[in-house]
Amino acid sequence: MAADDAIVQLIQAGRAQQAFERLVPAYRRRVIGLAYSVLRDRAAAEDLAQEVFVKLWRALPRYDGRARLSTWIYAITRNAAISALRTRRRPVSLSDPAVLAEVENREAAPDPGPGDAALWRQVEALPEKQRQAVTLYYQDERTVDEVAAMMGMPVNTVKTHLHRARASLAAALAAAGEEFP
Amino acid sequence: MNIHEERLEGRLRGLFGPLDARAGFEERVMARVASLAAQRGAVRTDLGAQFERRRELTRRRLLREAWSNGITIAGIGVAAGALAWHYADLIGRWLVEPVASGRVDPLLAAGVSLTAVAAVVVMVIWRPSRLLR
Repeated sequence: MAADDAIVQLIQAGRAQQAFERLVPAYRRRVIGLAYSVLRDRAAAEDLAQEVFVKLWRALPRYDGRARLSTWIYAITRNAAISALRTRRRPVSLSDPAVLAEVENREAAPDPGPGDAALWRQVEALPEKQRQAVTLYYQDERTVDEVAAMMGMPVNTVKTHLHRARASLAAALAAAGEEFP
Repeated sequence: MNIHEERLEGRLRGLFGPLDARAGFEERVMARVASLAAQRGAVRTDLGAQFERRRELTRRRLLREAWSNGITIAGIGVAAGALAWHYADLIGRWLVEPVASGRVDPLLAAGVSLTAVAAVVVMVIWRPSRLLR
């Protein structure tokens, strides 16, 4: 990608700050999308994207160009998202006033979900990799190649995940008497 | 792709749609980065001051060691001189006479004496520097 080449040239010229200023708008949507595909929470994905960009800012002067810029950024984002997911999954106690307040706050103002609630539930029920592939593929209408790069997987594996996900969704919707009467 | 699959595709595209950050995302990232850069600058200044303090302490320690070594060597020299003065007759009998009469090689005697003096000096220089650390 031409934008990536320009960013890499700036890094190699020792102009990391300028490179970073170009990198943020170029990768904002993809970093947020990848974070969202793992975390399934828009606000958390945006917070994580901020953390990722700060990490990138710190690491940018050390980028040596051995991996493609996008591959390097996706790997950092994936690792940060998986790490954040593990932290969120830690058991918490509702006797903790801070946790209780957060739960009440979430109940009072739920995350605005998508319109197609039945389909949303079925997507949520998919195995993790299939759900992630579906999310990344349909969000921003990405290509399979791009989704594969973002997930760090071979293209054919992503195609398999997408195929199985579509089949599962069609079957589940048919069973619910929705899509295929 | 049949009609059902096309409908599912359409529903999936409608479900996810484009996802982007709230307005001002880039400004927030840049503000955080600027704040971190400022912190980094402050840390660098602090580290510079620490380095200067340590360098001054090391310089003073080395000066103390040099004085201590000099005084010790001078003391040992004075003590050795006093002993040599006191036992001059004995030294004359044991060392100077055999050399003068040719029973001992003068070069060998001088070499042994110099080595002994050098060993004492080296021991004196190493010992106090370790004790002072």
